[in-house]
Amino acid sequence: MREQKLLPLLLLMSLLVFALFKLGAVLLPFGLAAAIAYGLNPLVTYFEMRGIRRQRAVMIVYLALVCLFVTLAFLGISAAIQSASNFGVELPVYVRRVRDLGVQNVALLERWPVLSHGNVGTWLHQQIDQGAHTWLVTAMQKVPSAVSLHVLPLLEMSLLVPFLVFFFMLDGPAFLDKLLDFVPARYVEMTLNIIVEINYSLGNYLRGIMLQSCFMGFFAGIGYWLMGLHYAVYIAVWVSLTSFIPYLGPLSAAVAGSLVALVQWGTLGSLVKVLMVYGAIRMLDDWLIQPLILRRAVDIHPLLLVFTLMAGASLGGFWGLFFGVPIACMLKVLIQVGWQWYCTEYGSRPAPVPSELSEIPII
Amino acid sequence: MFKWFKDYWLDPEFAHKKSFLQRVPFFRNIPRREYGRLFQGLAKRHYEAGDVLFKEGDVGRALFILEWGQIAIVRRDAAGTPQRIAVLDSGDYFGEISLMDDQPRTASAVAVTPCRVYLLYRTELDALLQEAPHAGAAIMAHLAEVLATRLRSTLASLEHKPSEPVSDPEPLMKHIR
Repeated sequence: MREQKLLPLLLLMSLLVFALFKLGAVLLPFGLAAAIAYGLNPLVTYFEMRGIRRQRAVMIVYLALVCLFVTLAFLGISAAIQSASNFGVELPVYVRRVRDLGVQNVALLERWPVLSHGNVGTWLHQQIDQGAHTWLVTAMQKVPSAVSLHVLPLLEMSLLVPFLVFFFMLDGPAFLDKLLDFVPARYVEMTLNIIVEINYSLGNYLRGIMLQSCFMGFFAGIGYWLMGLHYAVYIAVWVSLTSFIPYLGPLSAAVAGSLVALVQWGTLGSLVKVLMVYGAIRMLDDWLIQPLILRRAVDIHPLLLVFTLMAGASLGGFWGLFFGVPIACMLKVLIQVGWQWYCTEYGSRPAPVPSELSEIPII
Repeated sequence: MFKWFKDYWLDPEFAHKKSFLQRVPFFRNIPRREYGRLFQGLAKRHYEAGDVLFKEGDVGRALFILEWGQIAIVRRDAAGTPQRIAVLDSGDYFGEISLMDDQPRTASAVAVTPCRVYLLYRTELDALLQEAPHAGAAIMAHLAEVLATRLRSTLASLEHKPSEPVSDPEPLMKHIR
């Protein structure tokens, strides 16, 4: 009897997992759009709470966001064109600076008695010269294929995702209601409970991480701009985007800032300064933003978090890293509620133990 | 012009929900400005006649508020025969104890006619207590009132029953001393 009830559920779950693997690439824009719409839902409910129709609320929020993104895209594209021409002029300077830095460090190494014998210094000089040249040539050769491989799908997605976001925002709750119509009446309470629990933990996590992303990007941009770091805005965008990935995101953001500092000023002191600014922003984030995120989100053990990231990266690459933690949050709630349901359904739930309070007489 | 503007922007369902919930004792004392937040925390479901909303022994997770239709509350007696203990109508609510703990339900609920109910979950009540404390506190106050009334009525019914002699009075005496 127990197996009979569980079999359709297991079959359905297996089918879902199979479909996810087979249609991963197709589902990606839908998943991304659903996540964005979900993150924006509080803005829509702000108007709904004041008695405004959902369609009108979605229209207001969507139009405001379109205006914001068009302005940002316009500013971003004009700045990118300017930066690209600057980068073309400054590239030889940067290459020379990196080479000089390498040469200086080789000179330092040659002071070591073990390395001063033989031709270690000369060999390293050759390696730096050849390495820099080869890297530059290879990088330039890779540009056209990288554009067709990454930039074009990204452009395609940037057109498709906003379109999907609109419909997810508009009909998301109604679609969920339609799906709930298929749930047998007796299990509606439990299914809704799962949705409420997932909404509670995942919603807080996603909104918190979006807030953190904006915070990190904004303050990194201000900090790097005040320092006079080139391409501060692009590094800030990178910092902001990578904030979504725990551990790896902050690390890559620190490396990006440090590399630009090293290339721009060519001293280790500048690298330390950039790392200090980044460290200060991270500390502010830990004190101000993290408590807000962790206040009500699902608590996942760091070991499980690392496993989630590795599994996500292995299964879905960059997007696997991006969606890994939210999916882990959902799975944790599903397992918790599923276990509770299993215990009640099959009578293995322990009887309530009378607490000490029940011993106190009622007056 | 004003009517067109109002019809275009305002949700008629919102006003309808508000007027209904203001009649439910659970939500009567909620400040007007916090009704919007309360609506966000309520899930709405439609059940057909004969649908079982929950069974005796299921873990309770939500408070049910009946908007329209009829729901029967059924409990098995000592012999295991289902007994109808109440029939609820529009504006009635049931399952409020699940807002306090997640213990099994003490009775089953079956839709007698097609009906529409609102469900309030404990998680949502917790969120409401944080985000709209006046609304949350008003619900909790009413819940405490309901529980106190039931407790007093249970105690009163026990007083009418003949009490059994206590075989070992020592634990009781400990409380009295």
